[in-house]
Amino acid sequence: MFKIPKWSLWSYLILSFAGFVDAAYVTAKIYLSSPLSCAFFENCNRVINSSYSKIFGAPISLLGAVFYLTIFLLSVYYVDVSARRDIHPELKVEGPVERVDVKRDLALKAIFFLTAFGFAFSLYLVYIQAFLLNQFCLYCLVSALISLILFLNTGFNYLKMRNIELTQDESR
Amino acid sequence: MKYRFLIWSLIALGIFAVVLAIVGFITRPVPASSDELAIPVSDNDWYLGSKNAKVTLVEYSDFECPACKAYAPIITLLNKDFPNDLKIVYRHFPLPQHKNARVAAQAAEAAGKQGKFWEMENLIFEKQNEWADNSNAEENFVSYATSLGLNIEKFKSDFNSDLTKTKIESDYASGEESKLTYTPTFFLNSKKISNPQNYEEFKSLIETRIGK
Repeated sequence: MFKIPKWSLWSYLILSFAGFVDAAYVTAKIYLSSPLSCAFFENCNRVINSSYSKIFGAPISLLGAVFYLTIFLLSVYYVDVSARRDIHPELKVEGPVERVDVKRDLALKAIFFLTAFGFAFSLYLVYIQAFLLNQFCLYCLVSALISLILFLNTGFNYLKMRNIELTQDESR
Repeated sequence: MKYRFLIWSLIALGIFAVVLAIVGFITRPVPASSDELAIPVSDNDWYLGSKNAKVTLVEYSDFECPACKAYAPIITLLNKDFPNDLKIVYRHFPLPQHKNARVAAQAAEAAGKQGKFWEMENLIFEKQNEWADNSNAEENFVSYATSLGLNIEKFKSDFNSDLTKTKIESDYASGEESKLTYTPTFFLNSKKISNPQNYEEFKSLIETRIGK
């Protein structure tokens, strides 16, 4: 059984929440048609309003907000499931303990694949800013940084979990 | 089970509150300083005159508006009379009801990419009657570009580029942030001024700022 370290779990919660606030702020600015105030990079509004800023008519920031919210909720779910197992292992409310472990591992898997996708996507967005628009926006770079840290963080946990799974399989 | 339900509802409520807080933060009433230029002049703005001049005049203009056309020669004259003390900045504010104003702005931007923004600006205003009602105004602009000796291939691609369109869009957004209601609107040292009625009036207004 693999358990994400506490500090790591906290970082999921904090980072995904920060990412959500960042993306939700930009999204709200877009829908309220109020221009962003740019810090460090003067032309952040050009990035936000560029032709690359929408996918199927939805601003990318909206997708970002949904993405971070999903990760946040999955992390809460992970904590929730863990809590049930760790606090009341004897109660077995939800059936055998292994079932709870399976749920936990599934949540971690989902977080891992989501963050991997999110990281790849944010690389693509940074590429657009750097080479196609030649303009940056701080909100977008903050989001890219968050998705990088989330990805690395989850990546390590995922690999550890996989290793434990493999050694368990071998010992059976 | 009760405890879990509570936790999840609290989280849902919390997220809802965060969204509300963000929207509330964005739409909070800003102190009534709509006479101020909201977005300061930057290196991305087109300017005439001296870069570090003491006095800066920002004009929000629409190529299809007749009043803006009327001010064009006045601006040229101001630049001639205050070559060192006045920086004149042009920002696009193409009103939605003017169907060719936006493409005209694109033409000026595209010419600017080849160092002839102001030449094109003058030409577009001068020939406003020619293109304003034309359903294919791009033809007119290409012919102006030819007469300015621009590289037409590059002009055409810059004319349609996203960079050009977003530049105009962000100019427009900056004007909206300054709560513009008409064109042209002038800001002298970041303060909105009521439009001077003639050249002399404009000139003396600037002279008093330089004198300070």
